[in-house]
Amino acid sequence: MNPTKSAAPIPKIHRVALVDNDPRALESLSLLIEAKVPTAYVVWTATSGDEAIERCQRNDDNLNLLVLDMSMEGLQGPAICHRIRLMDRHLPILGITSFSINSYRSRLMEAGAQGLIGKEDSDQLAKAIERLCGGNVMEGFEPPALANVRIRREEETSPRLTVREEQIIFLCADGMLDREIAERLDISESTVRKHMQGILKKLNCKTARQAVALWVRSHAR
Amino acid sequence: MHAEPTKPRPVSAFRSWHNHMRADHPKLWHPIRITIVVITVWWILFCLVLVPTDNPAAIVWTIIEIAVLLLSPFFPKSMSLLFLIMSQSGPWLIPGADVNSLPGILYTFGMLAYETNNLVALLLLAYSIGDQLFRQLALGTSRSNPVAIIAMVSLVLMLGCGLRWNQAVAGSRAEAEQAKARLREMESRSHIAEAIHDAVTGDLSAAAFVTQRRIDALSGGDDGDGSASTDGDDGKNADERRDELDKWTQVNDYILSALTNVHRVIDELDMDVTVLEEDVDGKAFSDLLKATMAGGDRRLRALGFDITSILHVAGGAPSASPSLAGIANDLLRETYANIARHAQSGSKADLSVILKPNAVEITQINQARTTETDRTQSGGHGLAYFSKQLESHGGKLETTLRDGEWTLFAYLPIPVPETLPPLAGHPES
Repeated sequence: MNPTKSAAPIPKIHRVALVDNDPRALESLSLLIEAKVPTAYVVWTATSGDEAIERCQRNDDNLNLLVLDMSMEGLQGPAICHRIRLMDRHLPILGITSFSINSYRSRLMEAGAQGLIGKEDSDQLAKAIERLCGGNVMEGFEPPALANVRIRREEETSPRLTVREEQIIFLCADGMLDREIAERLDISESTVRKHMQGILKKLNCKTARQAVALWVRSHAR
Repeated sequence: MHAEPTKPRPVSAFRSWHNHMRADHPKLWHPIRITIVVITVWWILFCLVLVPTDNPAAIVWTIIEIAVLLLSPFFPKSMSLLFLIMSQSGPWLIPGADVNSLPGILYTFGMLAYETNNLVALLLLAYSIGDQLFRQLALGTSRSNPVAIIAMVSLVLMLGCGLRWNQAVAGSRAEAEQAKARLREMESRSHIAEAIHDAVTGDLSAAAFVTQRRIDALSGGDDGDGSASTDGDDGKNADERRDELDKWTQVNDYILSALTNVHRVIDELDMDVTVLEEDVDGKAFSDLLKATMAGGDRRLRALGFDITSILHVAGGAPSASPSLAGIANDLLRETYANIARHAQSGSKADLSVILKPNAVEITQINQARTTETDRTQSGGHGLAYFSKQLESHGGKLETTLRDGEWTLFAYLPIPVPETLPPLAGHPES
């Protein structure tokens, strides 16, 4: 009979994926999860948004959590989150960032994530990972299924600008005047103004400045 | 028995005309102002008769001055200023156009002091003093007592300023009285809402809880395939249990309907959307929805639901008109009522409200009751009404029921006013 019985190992049941463009950050995160989140283990890592989206689309890993860095090369964190949420209604997504949380919080919430935490506090990070793996969400964020419904419906319902209108509004956002836009697109100034009237009507705005700000904000993904 | 003599029709016609003029044309219907204008015009005409001129240009000039005075009730500032300029420049430009227009000048001074501000009154006084000193000392042409003139001008200017100040004070007092009256009314409604809540909703919620537990117990006893083979522990066969289940479901529906209606009455008593008339930054609208969500969450938790709700402002809350705010708020309340009516007892329900500068979005999901199928899902009467309301404003309401999960998505566009502050940006990292 063995007098001292060792404690049963905690089963690793939560499958986690990590996305960060910095390989060293990925390594640190993996070690953190191994050390501080006993129920979780890392299934795969990715250094680009496209790779992460592709792997989530395949959906053959049965993930319990995706940890996503906000500051990525090319497609930014909120945009990656938005695309993944559009096609997946179950996978919780936790955003992480080295910068101020306030700079990403609102956009990430709208993109359908379940939480956002700073990288600097490893204990808080570990707790957040554990919490989301357990099916909870952080305060101010929606559950995955609700976010999926909202984002899918928003794609169908949001006002659609024509290709020309989109061109004009993005050129306006770059600070170009009507005359410059007309020259760039090889159309007349009055045509530019007419398109802008159409844009204002679709976006329910009274001034071009408001329309540009709204559109750029909602399409900065 | 003496009969009341009937009023002659011309008198009642005059009274209604009088009231109409006072209400719709306050600038025109101002007896004192009109009297002063009439006196001034008569004075000018009298002076013209007393000291006639044979210069037709002077006569025309005087007629124009009279016309400007007559237009002053409609355009007090511009016509008063024009009269002053004409009366001062007339004698220099046109020989003979120096009719004594002192009453007119005093009237326009007083009008300008009343319609503008104290700084303008001071400037007019300074001008008057400078003018009298210039005429007396430099030109030596003044025939009147400059001190008396300056005294009259000062009095008239002070009178104008005093009347303006009095009007402002009276306006503030009236507003304060109105605000007090509204506050008293709101307090009274709040007390009534509280009393109804305390008296009724607690017992109704408890009754709903009991019926739902009975329904769950009876539902658990079925074989699930509708077969009538098994007897339950209470000795009833499956047919009797199904019959009892139907009755309990009906009772539950009545209780939930009563609860919803009582809450609607309570919310109507508590809500005051008139504050939204000046809600430029959308804060009042946002607060209104928050209050509705807090109340809805509380009620659903009392019924045993696990409700999670979020209100998120994406780039700025919309500045909604009272009617649009009412539609959005009523739809939110209907969404909560639908959860209470149709969601599985004790189940999880999620709700999010996103406020954008040009729209409101409501998204909701929950597990529907197992007794409802895709075809028989009701809750459509209230939502059908809101669907039409939203469509009439360019919005949309979509609901689905699939694999036992109910989803709702509502989109209501809201016009962005010109006075809205710049949209909140997002600092890039």
